[in-house]
Amino acid sequence: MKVTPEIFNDDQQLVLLAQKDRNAFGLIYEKYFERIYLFVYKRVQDEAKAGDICQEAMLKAMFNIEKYENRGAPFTAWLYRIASNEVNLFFRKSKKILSVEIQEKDLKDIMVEISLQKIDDQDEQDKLISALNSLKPEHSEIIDLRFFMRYSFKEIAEFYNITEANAKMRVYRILDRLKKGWKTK
Amino acid sequence: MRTYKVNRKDTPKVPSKETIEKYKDFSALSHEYDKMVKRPKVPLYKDKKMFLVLLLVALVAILLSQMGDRKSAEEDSESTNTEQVED
Repeated sequence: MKVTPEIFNDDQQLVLLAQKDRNAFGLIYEKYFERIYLFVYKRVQDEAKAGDICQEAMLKAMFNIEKYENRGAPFTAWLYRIASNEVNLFFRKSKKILSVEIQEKDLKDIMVEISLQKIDDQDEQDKLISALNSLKPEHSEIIDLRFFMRYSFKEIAEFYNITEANAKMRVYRILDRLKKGWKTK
Repeated sequence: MRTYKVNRKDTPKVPSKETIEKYKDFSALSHEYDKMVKRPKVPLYKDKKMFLVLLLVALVAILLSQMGDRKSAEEDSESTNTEQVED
């Protein structure tokens, strides 16, 4: 079958093709490998491991493409969730702690969001780091997406399959918690 | 569990397009998929170990069915005996 650019750009058509013929999954692979690889790389910080995890995630997606149902969320949200689960599985299996390296600029952005004054003060920054380290895993994941992976609220909403308003609410609730924790310190 | 640390010096390293291409291999993925999905070429009964397992399962099934037959036959004869005694 000839794949026109229109089909290639339409995820739902690609999914339908892949559900009929598994070899057509190659189109999805071609389109999204790089994005998924970078997503995984940002978490594992190792090129080879990111490659392995990415392949594993794509294999799982290929296996489960039949079960995929379009419920309004973009197809990429489904792919990212599989990749995210694979990353978590990798860290659980290897009993390693996911270490996230934050750029100073990103840290300052959080400080501005929670209205902290001395954003250049290293002690304050370290305090924020320890506050971030005490977050629940599900909360730190959303903070990761928003501030360190630079996801828009729309993208976060797609990732969790929730509404944009809900994504905003979740982020600000966590920031509020960080802020309250700060005041009590 | 995750821990955060600040990077105050280096700019974040992002893999180049060439590096990503190096790990991109759909034929390997396809091969892996086929390996997991497709039926084995050798039929189960031609595999020595599987043959023994199948044989064992068949023997147990025959044994169980014979035991069942014997039990029902015994029950039948017992019931006819008690009927004769009552007469």
